[in-house]
Amino acid sequence: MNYQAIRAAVENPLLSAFSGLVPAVPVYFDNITAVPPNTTTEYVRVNVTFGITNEPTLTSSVDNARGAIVIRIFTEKGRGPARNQTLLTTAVNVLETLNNTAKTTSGVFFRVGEINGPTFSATEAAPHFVGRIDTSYVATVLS
Amino acid sequence: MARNRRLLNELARLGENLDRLAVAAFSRGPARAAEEIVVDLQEAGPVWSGRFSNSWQIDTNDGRKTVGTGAAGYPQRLYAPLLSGRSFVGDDVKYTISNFAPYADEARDLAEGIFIDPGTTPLKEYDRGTRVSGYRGDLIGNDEGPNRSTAPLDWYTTYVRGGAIDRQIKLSLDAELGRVRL
Repeated sequence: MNYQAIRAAVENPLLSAFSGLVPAVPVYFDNITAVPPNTTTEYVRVNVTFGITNEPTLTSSVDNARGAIVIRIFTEKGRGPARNQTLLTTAVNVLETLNNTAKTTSGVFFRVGEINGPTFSATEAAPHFVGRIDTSYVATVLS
Repeated sequence: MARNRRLLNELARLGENLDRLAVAAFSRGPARAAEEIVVDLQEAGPVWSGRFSNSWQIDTNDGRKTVGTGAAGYPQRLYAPLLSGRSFVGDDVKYTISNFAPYADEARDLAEGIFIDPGTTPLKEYDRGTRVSGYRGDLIGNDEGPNRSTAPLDWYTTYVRGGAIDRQIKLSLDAELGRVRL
């Protein structure tokens, strides 16, 4: 099992997509400190979690993992949902592209499930308007 | 003639018993799965006072339900109501598991919240750190900081979406079917 390869399979395209925007939007992954909470700077938070590893399937390969991807978009509060939804669309497009990528003979074969959300929240205490989506994934490490 | 009738009666009774056994096996499997899922959620989720862990609820699709106490204290096991024969028919959702704590979304990291450390010792082990956003488990720091969390960020989404529920239901059905002797 190569957890790092699985993580990279979803993190790299997301990083590329948000870095390619003008202006670029910073993306923070697991165990990376996000911007301080008292700023209005927009940013993206991506959490990749692992659920079950090597669950037997109908195929011969058991080198697979299931888990969840949670993407949170933080944009300025009090400015409406438009900017947040634009950035959410970027994230969803990346997930859809992952699903459309053909299976190869090596690397990681990655498929996401249905996407929950987006749900939005904004509390009085926190300075951001937050949009959140989550999805399940199944990744198979090919060798 | 009388012997034939007796044989027919016995065959009919056997048919009924087989039917009952099959329904019981399939009905108890999902009930057991629902109970085990609640246990898993109680173990995986935050436990500070215990109120959230004791606020899970299992509903059947025919309107029956069992409800947690909602009280503070260590998590209590919740028993699922058995499905009736009629409600078992069809492929709709048999059981719905939910949490009725008023802050259930915040506890499950689905919504931001305002968190005030009560200063008491939680019933579960905790991590310490600094909360980055308004999400309960969004702590950073190497076990240092003003905030405490008794479950990792996105524990609920990981459990629900990471395949654990599918596995629970399959395991429970396997266990129940293994007890059926025909």
